[in-house]
Amino acid sequence: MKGMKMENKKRYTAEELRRCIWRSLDIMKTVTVPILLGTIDGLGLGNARKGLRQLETHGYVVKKGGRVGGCHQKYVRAQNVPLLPPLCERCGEEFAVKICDPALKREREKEREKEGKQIEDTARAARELFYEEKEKEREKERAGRKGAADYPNEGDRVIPSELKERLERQLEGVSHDAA
Amino acid sequence: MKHGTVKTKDVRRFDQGIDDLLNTDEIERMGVLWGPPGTGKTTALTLLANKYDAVFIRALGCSTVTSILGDLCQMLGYVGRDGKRMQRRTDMIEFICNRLTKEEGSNKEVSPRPIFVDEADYCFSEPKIIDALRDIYDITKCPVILIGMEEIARTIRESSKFARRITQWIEFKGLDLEDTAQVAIEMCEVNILPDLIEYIHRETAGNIGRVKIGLDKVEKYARANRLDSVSAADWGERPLYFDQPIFGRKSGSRK
Repeated sequence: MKGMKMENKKRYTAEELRRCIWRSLDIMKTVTVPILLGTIDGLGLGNARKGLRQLETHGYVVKKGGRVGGCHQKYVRAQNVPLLPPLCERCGEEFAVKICDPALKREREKEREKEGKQIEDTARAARELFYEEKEKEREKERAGRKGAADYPNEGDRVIPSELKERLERQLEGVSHDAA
Repeated sequence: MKHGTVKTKDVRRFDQGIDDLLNTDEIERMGVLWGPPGTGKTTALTLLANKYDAVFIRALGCSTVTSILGDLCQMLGYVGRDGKRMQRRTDMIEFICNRLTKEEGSNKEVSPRPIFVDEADYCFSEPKIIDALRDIYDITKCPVILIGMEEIARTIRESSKFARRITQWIEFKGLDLEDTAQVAIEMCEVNILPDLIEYIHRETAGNIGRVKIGLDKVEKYARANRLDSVSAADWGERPLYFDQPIFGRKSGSRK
């Protein structure tokens, strides 16, 4: 805009900002909002408060001591996690969610388990069907091979028809000779 | 008082040093930062760690190679079963190098991140820690910056083998008169005249914490007395901060 001075401020995503707050807490142990403003380049007051509030809601940060008149509220880490996870480990939700309820996580896990079971059942059924079909195919193949063969099955042994006829003829010859 | 960090000469030098380490080719990318307490090392470190997305670890008196590598792994997102770290050092170094050079979940190359080692004085009690850090730097080309008290620079200078690899020697000297004036202009909401700035600088001996307390007091005084600007004559002989007491000899301690 004409006549307006644009500040060269760095823009942070919500996750980057929370990581920066977490890093500041790691290095300085105790932080206040003014300290965060001093250690994160281009951070605004509102965003600093918002980031701290989100971490506090999800139990990653706690207030230290009471607020004395004229002093800023101090914050310390409540969990010894070196790297801040992208989702809250307690409720499994994003940090932007304003309520951190472990029951939500349990519900989600149950849902996931249910979904997992359904998937497992479907997979098992599909597998069984596949094997059945394969078995049928194999049986068909076996049957086809028998039909095509030139050797009829006689008891345990398979005797070719030509050989059978020759043998019968020979046997007849032997019986005539004997007579 | 306004909130923020004033880019004093020390901070600017540190920033420039890291930038050089990250962006200059074919140099040994290791640096050392040292200075007496109260010169703003930790604040500058936090500011620049956030700016460059650095990996920060703190050495302890009882640190070993395994504990330092384990900390680095954790800082890079390694979560072992039941919070346990890896068993082998080679596995740890492999994990660290992989995370520092490639994006998580894909094989994309990432730009190098600096590694800050605070209280690095303790690393020199076990030389293998320094060797492990050097290995990581050799493989990943991520600059390693050692931060410590005044002694660290001397210790490194004595070890010529390691001193060769340090290309950035950054000393935090505290605030000079120009820096004190800059802090007064940028942080105070009332006008502080040069004679009072000179007085504050002389009294605080360049200690940034004391300068801040002194300026805060001057500002409160100006507000209470409805002054737009404060001079040394207005301030008089009032104390700027409460210093350590100087005790006389204890009576009866020497017979």
